[in-house]
Amino acid sequence: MNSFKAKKKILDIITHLILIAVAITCVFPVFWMLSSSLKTNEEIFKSITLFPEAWQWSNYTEALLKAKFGMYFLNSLIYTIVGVSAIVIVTSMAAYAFARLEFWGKTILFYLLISTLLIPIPGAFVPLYLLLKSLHLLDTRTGLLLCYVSGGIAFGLFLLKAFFEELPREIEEAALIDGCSRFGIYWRIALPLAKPAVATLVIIQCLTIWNEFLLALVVLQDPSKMPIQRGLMVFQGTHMTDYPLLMAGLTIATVPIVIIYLLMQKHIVKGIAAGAVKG
Amino acid sequence: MSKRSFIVALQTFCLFLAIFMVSGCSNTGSNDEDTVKIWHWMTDRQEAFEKLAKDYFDQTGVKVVFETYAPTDVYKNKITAAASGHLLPDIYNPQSDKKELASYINAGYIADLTDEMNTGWKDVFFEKSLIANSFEENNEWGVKPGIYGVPLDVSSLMIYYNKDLFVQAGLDPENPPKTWPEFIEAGKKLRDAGIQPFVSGFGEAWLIGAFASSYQWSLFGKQGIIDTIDGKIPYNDPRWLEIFKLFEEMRNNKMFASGIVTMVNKDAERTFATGRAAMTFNGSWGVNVYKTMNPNLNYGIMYPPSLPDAKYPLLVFGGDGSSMFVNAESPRKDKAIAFLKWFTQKEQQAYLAKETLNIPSNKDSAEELPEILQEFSNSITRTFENLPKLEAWQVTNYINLNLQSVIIGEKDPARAVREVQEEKIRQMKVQK
Repeated sequence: MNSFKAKKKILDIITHLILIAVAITCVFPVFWMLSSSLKTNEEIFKSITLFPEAWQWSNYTEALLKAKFGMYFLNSLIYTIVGVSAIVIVTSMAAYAFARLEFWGKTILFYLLISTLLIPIPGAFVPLYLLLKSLHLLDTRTGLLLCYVSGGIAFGLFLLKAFFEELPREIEEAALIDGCSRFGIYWRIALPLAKPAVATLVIIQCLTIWNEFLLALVVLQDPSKMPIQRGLMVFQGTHMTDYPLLMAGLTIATVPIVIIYLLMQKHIVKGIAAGAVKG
Repeated sequence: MSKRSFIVALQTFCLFLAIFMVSGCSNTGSNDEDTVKIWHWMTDRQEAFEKLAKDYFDQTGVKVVFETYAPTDVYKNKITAAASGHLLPDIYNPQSDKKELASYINAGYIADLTDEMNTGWKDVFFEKSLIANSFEENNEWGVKPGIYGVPLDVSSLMIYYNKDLFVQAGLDPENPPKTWPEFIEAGKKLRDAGIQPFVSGFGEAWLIGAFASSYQWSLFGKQGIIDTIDGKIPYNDPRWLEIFKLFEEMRNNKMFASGIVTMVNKDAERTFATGRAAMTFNGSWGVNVYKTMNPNLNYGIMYPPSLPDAKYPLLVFGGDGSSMFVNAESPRKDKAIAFLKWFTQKEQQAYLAKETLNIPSNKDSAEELPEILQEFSNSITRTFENLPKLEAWQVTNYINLNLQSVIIGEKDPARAVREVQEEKIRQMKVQK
């Protein structure tokens, strides 16, 4: 073996060791969540072990029943699917318009929309609440969804506009010569080419809406409309927390988002690699 | 994108949109005009609350709904938003300090319950629990004097000790230390037996302050504390130096658990519950916490040890707890008050205490409590008295920080009290 090969091998080993260490730090909390979800409360506090002494599978059934996960799960599913679909439709059309069309006040309007990224959700609670009240949308799914959609527009716009601007204009010009309309170009050419960026947007917005909790608690009152994160709340008291049930609940709540991530994974890598997150 | 996939995607979207439109736009919440709605943050009490609401419905035909919103900061946001929209529920708690509570009252969001309380209702409560919900004559916020809140429970802070660890160290578990020298001696024996003597969430400044305050009351008495706030007694008074020296003495005798000044109370609770420390300074809520963490924990409680040279009796921090307020704008105000009256009677309070292991605000319910909670309940009469004025928060904060500095050996007591006095002078100048 020559010195170059030996050097490369050592570098590879070091790189892999670093990657393994990083991977462990990422995976360990998930492992801990799974392990704790199968322990008793006493075991969690008294012994720090990787695996449970006796596997408490009943924690999952208890968590499902106690937190009324079925109802909350369906709600979150609806909020996520409708919300993310609406965000993708609205922001992709808006981003395409900002990237390709010329209209008065375009730059100002774009930065105005982007600046809403700087407003923290708790800071918008009161105005949102009053706005929904005046629209008679308080304690309705529509009201909550409109908040989610409006909250996702700025980021979607930021992400997709950069991507659309990178697309070669020549393809669109060829389509125009062939008689394709502006909307046709957006729908048949730009959007399919933007699949990696859209996938990135989908996964990020899925995560955001699925895990959202503060806005739902402020906007909604009827428990039957609450999202899945509300279910997890029942395990957290003022002074104490039922950790095994909370961890079981968290595991249940994590499964759909992991599935979505796995389905979209290859697109996300492409999306990021193709410059989807360029500003 | 192929035409087929587009159609499938569109169909899926429309299906979900249809489900949501059908079920989402209608407001199916509890909007019954006769239903009393309560917003609270105590998730662990929801089941007990619902059981009592059912009992009340069976007895009176009035429906009461408890809606939980937690954690507390989310609850508070919801209350603030609802207040802006005049959409507060019938019963709630703004989760605020007295100044903010006053603004809710002055804005007409909280009903004055003085007349109702004077019909004999207030007699069922621990006196101290009502003080936190009342405003005195000529209060600085301009609130009409009276009682505005209904206390649901009370709490106090004592020292829990692990009986098994006491036995291991050769101490009598039925006779915990009563005086400071006995306390230090017990600490030495525990340390010699390889046991951490004392833990508390002293990383949370209010807890270290609560512990020190017992000795402030013990050495200064009420008037002495007021004189200190007024600046008539300086913080470098020998009695303050003595208080700081108590912490130094504990440090010198290795009584503190490692990392105590950065420890939050949740960690301190875990340390005590798992038998890694023999004593802890904590609130009455700890009874429920320790039961959850370690049901077999064998412990007792004791007052903070008294000082042999103290001029005044030793009092403990506490006396107030969770309260509820009635929405003055509510069309169901009378029903809300009637429910709270029923809710705070002996039988209901005893049930709530049994289920949630909190000390009920109704003083007559104490006899039905488990032994430890009864002891806590008895301590309510020995909690700090109400003060007409409070020390500037900057000074209080400085005291707590300097106590932490003494514990870690960063400052000696003499320097610590001198610096607190300097801060006091600074704040008095600012106030002027």
